[in-house]
Amino acid sequence: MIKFFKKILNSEFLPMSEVRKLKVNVVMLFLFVVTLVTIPFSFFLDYSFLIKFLSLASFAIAYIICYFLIRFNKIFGAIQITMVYSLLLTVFYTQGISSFYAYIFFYITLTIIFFYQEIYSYFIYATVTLTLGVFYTLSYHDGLVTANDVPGSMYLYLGGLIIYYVISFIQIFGNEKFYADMNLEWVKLNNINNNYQEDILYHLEDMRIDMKKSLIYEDLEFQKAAFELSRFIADQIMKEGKDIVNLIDLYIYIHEKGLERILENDEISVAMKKTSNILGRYLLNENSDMFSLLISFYLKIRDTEPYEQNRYNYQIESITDLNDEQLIAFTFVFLYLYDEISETTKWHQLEDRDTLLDNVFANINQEDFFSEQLIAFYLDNKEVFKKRIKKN
Amino acid sequence: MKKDYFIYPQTKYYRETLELKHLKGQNNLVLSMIFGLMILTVTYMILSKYPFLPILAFGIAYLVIILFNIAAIAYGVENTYYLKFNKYITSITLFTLVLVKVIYFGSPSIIPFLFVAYAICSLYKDNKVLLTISFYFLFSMLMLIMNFKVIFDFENQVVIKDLAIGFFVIMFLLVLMFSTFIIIKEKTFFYNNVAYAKEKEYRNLDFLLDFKLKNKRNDFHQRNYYQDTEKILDDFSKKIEIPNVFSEKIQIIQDLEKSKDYQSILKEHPDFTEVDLKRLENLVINKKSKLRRTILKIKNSKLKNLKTKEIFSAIHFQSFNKQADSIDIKILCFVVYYVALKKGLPGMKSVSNKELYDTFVNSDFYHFIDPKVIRIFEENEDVFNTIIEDTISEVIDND
Repeated sequence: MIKFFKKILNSEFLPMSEVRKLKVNVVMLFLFVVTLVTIPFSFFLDYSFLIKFLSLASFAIAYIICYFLIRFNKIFGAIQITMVYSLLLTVFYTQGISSFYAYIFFYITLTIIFFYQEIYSYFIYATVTLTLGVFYTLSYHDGLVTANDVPGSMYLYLGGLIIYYVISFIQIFGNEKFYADMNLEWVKLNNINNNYQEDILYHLEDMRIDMKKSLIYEDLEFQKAAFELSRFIADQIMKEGKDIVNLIDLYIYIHEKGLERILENDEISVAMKKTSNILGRYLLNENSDMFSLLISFYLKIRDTEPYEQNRYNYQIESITDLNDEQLIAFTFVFLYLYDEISETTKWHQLEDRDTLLDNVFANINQEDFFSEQLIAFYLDNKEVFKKRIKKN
Repeated sequence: MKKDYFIYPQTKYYRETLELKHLKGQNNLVLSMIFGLMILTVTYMILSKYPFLPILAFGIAYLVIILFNIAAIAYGVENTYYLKFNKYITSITLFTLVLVKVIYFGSPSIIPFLFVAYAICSLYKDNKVLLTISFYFLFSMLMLIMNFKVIFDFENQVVIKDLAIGFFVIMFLLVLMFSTFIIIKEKTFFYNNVAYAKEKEYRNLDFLLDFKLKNKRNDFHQRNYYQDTEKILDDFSKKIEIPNVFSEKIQIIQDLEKSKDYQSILKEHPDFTEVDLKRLENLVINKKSKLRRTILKIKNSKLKNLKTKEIFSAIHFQSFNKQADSIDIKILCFVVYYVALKKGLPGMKSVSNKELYDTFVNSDFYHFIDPKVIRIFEENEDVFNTIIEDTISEVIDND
């Protein structure tokens, strides 16, 4: 249980897929408590013994199904079942008793459905809950009022429920947009970082060749240290050290042979291919997660300039605010990019160089780098630029 | 476990910027909801023929909150602390106002509006606000149950009244608290990762630029950029019939690239100041400069058409603590990572024990490693160091 609560506390370090799993677990825990309490509560509900028994048995079965769905990582299915489960629990309570407490159950169910932050599921299940809530309030109004209640209290109950539903809906809409925007920005940044790291990997390899050093995974000292340390960790968690040693052997083998060749080899077992595929994300000689995290560490220990407000601003305007200097800077950028593209363009595409540069400008968010005036300057003077480039 | 610092300390600044950007939108949303509640309350009281004075009192109370919000949003443009301050004040006053309404009307039908107030306050997505209103909520319910029993004096009495009310309210509060808490954490995940990726990009650019400037072997940029730029801008000046104002500055930038000292440049160009030179130094092309960073960034910023599946894929999250990976793989990843850092990549120094321990244990990196594995490292750091010293000959430890 402590591990579970720790996981909730540290959920900001979990990717969305794992948070969804965590959410189902939280709801499952909650439903478990409510279902357990429902057993003594059911004595006060207006149902026959058979109905009570069948209902509680169905809840138990649904709970078990949900448990197995989580176990086999079918999270979407588990989410749907927990939502239906809470909805049915609401029906069970509200149809068996006419009181304010049963009315609160609609809010509980709405909150559970809201918790998952799934817009379509919310629309379906929460709307059904709201409809049931409205129906319940209209039908069982007598159980909700006090002796000297305010006029129109029924409408207040209805209003509260509808407003709660609407606010939750607005929140989900807002969050959906927030998640999509932030995720997109994050993925774009990751892709750009990936490009940089591709270049860094290339430079490191160049440096290694210059230094006449062996590849790190071929280095016997590296291998020995990795074997010793993994055996030590395995011992500490009471695991068979042999498994880890075999895994490291496979890891080194993938580096030597290449992942694709291993996956194509019919003589290698499916299980080993599966493990190889996972290990492929952590290779040292590719732009992998492992390489990226190694670079992250080196970046951490490098000196960097102190933080200032426009640290991540790459606009030419942020470098200089004088128009003539911006034009000089833009011309530098143009010429430099032209050379970069020319170098990476194959000979048969030489005639397309001019259009290629246009493509570079078209494929970036120009506003991230250039002001409107600079873009206009380029468009108005394209011929001047091209004339000088061709002379080179 | 909250860690002492981010892997890159600068992350916290951009994270704050992101939070503030969204806080403005959240403030506006809350403001419009409170306005809606005010309209509903006043309309209900007028329709139910309540005396003028209470209608006026509730109307003014809502107006005060709204005006405070408007003022905070306006001042927030100048100083963002007003926006932060506003969320606490608004949450507490809104909750108090709804509680006053419950007591004034003496009806359980107003209690759901406490839930509504909670939902409105949770729009701020702030842990401190969440904690405050949760305690306030619990306190309010206990107070109502104990001191205002008449509110729960239903015509249709249920035997287990007190037990039921306590149980359901606590259940509701727990679900609400957990859901809001985890949703806040989800939001934090994105703030952290976007800020981390931004800072990583900044540092990657620096790192790559160092490589490019150091490794001239593959440099194919043989053009004289200063000369060609001058020609282009000269053509441009002629085209629009203005004097060439660019030549002198281009000459200065070229001199700066050659590391000519400021004093001799200023002597040759008396119209310029040291401030001008510092600014122009950012435009040099064959040295580390802001412009060179921009060029490198443009080159790598080509937009790729991303599919929704790719955007929401978990593969973007880099860690050695992935749920899908077995413990063996997690151990292997950590060990390979640790040894690679101790051994040092080509041209890179071996990382010191202190630096490694500090980053693994005290920074956010802690969460990138399996809890069992990191605990073993934390408790047996000496063993790790000994194994490395025994196996790797060139480890330099600058502790």
